[in-house]
Amino acid sequence: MLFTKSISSIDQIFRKDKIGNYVKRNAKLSQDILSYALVIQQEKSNYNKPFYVWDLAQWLMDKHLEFRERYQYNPVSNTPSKSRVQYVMDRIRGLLYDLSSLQLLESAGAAHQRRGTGFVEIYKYTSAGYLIVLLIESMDPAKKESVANEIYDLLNSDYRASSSSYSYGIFLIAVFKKYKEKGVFSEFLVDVLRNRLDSATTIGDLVARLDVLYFDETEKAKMFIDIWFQTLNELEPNVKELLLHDIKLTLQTTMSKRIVVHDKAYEDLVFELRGRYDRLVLEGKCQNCQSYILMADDIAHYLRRSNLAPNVPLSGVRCIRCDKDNSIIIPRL
Amino acid sequence: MRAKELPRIDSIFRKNKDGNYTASAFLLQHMLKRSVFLNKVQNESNDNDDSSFSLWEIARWVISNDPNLVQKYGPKPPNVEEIIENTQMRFKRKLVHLMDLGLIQKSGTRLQEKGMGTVDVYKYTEYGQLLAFIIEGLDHNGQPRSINNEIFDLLCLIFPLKEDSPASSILYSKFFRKCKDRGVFENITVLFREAVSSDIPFISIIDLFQYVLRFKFNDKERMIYFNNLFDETINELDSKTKELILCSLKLEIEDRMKEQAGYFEGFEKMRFTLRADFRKIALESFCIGCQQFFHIPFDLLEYRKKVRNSYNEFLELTTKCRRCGLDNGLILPNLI
Repeated sequence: MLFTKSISSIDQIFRKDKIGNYVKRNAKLSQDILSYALVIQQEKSNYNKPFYVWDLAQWLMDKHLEFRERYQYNPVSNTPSKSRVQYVMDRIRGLLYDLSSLQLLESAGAAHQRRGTGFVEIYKYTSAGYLIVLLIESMDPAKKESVANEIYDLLNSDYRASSSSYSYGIFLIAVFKKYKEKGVFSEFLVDVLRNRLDSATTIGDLVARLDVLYFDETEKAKMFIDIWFQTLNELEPNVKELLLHDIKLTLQTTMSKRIVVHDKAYEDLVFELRGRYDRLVLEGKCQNCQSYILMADDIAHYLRRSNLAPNVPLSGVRCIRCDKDNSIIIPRL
Repeated sequence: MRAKELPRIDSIFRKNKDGNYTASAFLLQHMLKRSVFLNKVQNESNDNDDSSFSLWEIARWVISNDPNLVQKYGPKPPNVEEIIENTQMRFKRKLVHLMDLGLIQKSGTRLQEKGMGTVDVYKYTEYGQLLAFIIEGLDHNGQPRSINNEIFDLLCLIFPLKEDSPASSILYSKFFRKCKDRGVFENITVLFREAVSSDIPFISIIDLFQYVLRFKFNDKERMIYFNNLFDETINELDSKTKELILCSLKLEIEDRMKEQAGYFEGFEKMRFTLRADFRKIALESFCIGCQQFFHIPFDLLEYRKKVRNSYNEFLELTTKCRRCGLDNGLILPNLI
């Protein structure tokens, strides 16, 4: 059975309706729970130190607008602090569970109760949770640059330590450095991540394929492609091959899901090119006769083209159905 | 005003904390179930007329058939036109949602019954009809034979056996026919029902099919039986189709391995080395003797057989470690 959790995906923490209200009731509270990581970072010099749920709840009583407003007026303004906290504890625990399921927090085991002889569960923030906190912070223009530096450090150390990526991690570390040197880290990474917040289901979606990006503004697209090629060409040859192969597998899967005419011809071509780590099978569309045409392309060439001339027909390619030149458009995957 | 819901198949089966479907899920289910009704009407009247419908037609039917709406407006509300007028934005939103999921499609326009203008008309896709019959089956204890037959016929339409059909279509078509011939097709419909009633987050209809074709029955015997039947079907394919199927199964398994790999560098290198060899998959295994990861090539069909045997004998999925020589020392992941 699919039980509705309060928050079951990252986008639910951020999505708003057309008039600007959060779609989920607990969205803002979830954001505030995540923001407590900044307090931990400040007090303990490390965001991933364990904390008591009670401490978090007490902090939220001052920080979270809904909680603050609840006790503004008589007669409830006299409610003791302990009762106020107890009243919201179940809701906060529920959200901690939801956010842990999203890998933004994790249980840090049990600790002695401050009063009494029992034990209580304590939590800590994960680097994914802290990344989201920083992305929330980056929405404040005054903090944007300093937060971008923190995000750079966080991702840099994450990808260096990670054993769950190899060529992708190496490429990202190198490309982030170049973004930073050229002063575009915020634009090319922080903005991209922030834009994904209201559509990403998991943390994996949020940081997926940060090496394959598309920009509509010509100057930005040009700069991105320049940096991308520079970085790619500076990789060790074997790492470069592995990366292109990894990108190929992702893009080919996307193409397979989006293909309009899924017949044997497409599968045959994919099969034929399975050994070519740098070639991709695409389904283009003829603007003249509306037919779908299969073609193969170099990944690097494809990425350059989809950024710099996304809606421009391929020059020198003739439609095999209507024989018209310069009429085939390829999709952005 | 509401934000547009992200199109996900599981939105049709979402439940409240009390275990009942949400009002939104119930509404989507009934919008699909109208296709079962249309099918029945057509069968009874032997009428193959155009089954397209307008937004108002589907809304009118759902208002009289969705228990939540029947409770709200009564069984035969006299002011149904007014109700539709007031709720049409909600119906429109749900219709777009089902179109985004590929379950309904726009089929054209027709003249308005009243007035001079035209209205858009829609029809159920084959996937939409299939899901409608699966939902219909959820209401019955034990699937009626007629529903199983309808599901089988729809699967034959979705996966046609034609010369230019994709390999997956040929395989699925032959597999479902084999199930039907052996009188076990009902189990497939049970899997569909269990899948949509589970808490698995299905995004697209393809995810649902991929899950069903992993034969995750609670009963081990049945799990083994259907995996055997599936491999038997693969082995009976012509050599070219079989190659394409193996290539696609390899990519699926390696994609799951990618998600689980503990030491990605080794896996990525092995996957790259084996990229052209469609009969072999790159696996990450862990040796309990050497206490380290090994990345090994494994014959795809042999691996599938090994996984099946592990179900049968309640054994761990293991093989001999070539480094330390420990029998059953190398633990393999179950990616089927």
